[in-house]
Amino acid sequence: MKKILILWFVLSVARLGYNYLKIYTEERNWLTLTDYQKKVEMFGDDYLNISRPDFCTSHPKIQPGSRLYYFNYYYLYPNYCRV
Amino acid sequence: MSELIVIFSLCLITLFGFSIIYLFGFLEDHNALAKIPYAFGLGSGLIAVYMFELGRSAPWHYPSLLLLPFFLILLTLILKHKKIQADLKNNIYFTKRNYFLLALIILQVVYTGFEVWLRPLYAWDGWASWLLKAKTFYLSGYFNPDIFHLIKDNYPYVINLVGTFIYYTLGHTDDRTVLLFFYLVYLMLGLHFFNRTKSLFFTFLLLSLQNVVRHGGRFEAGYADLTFGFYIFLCYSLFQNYLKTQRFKNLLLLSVFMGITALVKEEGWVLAVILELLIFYRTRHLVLLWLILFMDWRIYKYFNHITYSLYQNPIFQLGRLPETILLICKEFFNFKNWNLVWPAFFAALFLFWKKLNKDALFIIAGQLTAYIIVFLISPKPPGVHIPNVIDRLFLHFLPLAIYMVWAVNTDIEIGAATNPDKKNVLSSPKYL
Repeated sequence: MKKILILWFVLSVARLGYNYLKIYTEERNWLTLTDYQKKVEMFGDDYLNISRPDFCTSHPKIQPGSRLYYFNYYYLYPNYCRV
Repeated sequence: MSELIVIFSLCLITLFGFSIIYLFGFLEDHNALAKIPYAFGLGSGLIAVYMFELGRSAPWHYPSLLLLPFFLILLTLILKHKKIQADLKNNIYFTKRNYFLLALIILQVVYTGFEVWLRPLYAWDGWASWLLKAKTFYLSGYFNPDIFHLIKDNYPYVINLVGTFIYYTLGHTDDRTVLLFFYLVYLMLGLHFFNRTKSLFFTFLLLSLQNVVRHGGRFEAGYADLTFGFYIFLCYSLFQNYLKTQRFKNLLLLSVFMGITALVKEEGWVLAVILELLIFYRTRHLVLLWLILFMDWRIYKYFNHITYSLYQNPIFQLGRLPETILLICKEFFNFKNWNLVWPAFFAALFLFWKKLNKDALFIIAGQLTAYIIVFLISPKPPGVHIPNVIDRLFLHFLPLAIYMVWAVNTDIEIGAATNPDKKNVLSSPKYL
């Protein structure tokens, strides 16, 4: 039992170190991004589409249950497109 | 600046919880540090209930919304300042060998804090349900049931309305700083775990789990599952506290927490029923105060026709059982998510069966059985449904599982905090 706990602890410390390394190597670029750029980075085309002023007229087909379906309400409420 | 305002609103929620605890004389055997997680949990739950009751029939008026919390906080400071001062004196001290573990915990907490600060909301359920409703309630100005019909959802309201409260304090919606609520849940879970165990070692093990880090601040902050796990752990602690003290007030507080837990996630009522059974079995008492909160929400849903559910026409398919159990067991070996929690848990289960806390085990087994039943009646096949949700469902009873592992390994001295007279705090009556 003790051996499991010690191994668990060692792995946790290693993971913590790895996470800090990731901040330096990967995530520090995020520090300079704007909120819009971060969302484009995370959600790609869906966020670009939902940000367009003509979204409701240009994208009439929104599949219920899709990411765009919920984005429609989340980002556009109360001016969301009727699905 | 937005971050500071959100921190202020979360402090206000916690102080509101504190005021209720002090005014009603709950948890008198706990010091201030031990009361903080309860205060945060109680404050969050009650602010949501308060906003629900006000906003279900009329618009919220924000500054006047704060009158009641401020009044109660002020009243507490006037009436209970001596008790508060006495509670604040009982501090925890660390020996030199604890500093290494403390430094690791601080590094972990700082990392998770950085992650939550870095990104806007990313979690699916965050923008598809929890914070979507928070945002729409804020923009509507009242508890608008239309959103339930728009997204065909029937989930309860605690997390939504805490989000709405934060948006009101901010004066606008912000899907980055609102995630600080989930980060605070992560912190409070760690603090409560430490308060219960006085083990920095196990607290670090809990806080450094990747799935906990993700839900506390990385990509999955915005899901309600870590919050739900936090409330389950609080309920369990209160139950243990009641068994130890036999004080009716503690049972009353437990019942309030059961009601709040039932309003954090739909599955919360299962926990409430399990705990009710445990309370009756152990003490021959029944406390049904939680039903008032729960039934109030049910009645509201009934009158507003919020009847959406994935399980409306359940067909019990027992043939799915082997696949369901196999898929659940698979998650026990997902070391990337859970590190060695589950091997340690099963080792504790088999090696220390007699020493194990059977109440905690009963809660874990009850919750797990309920989830298995859900998978058997789900319209989605297990191969699709289970992998989508199982890593989140395990979060519900994760703190209890680690607590059980700690309970059979209390001889691990490393991490035990001591007070100035070198007496182990575990033996102090101030800590339960």
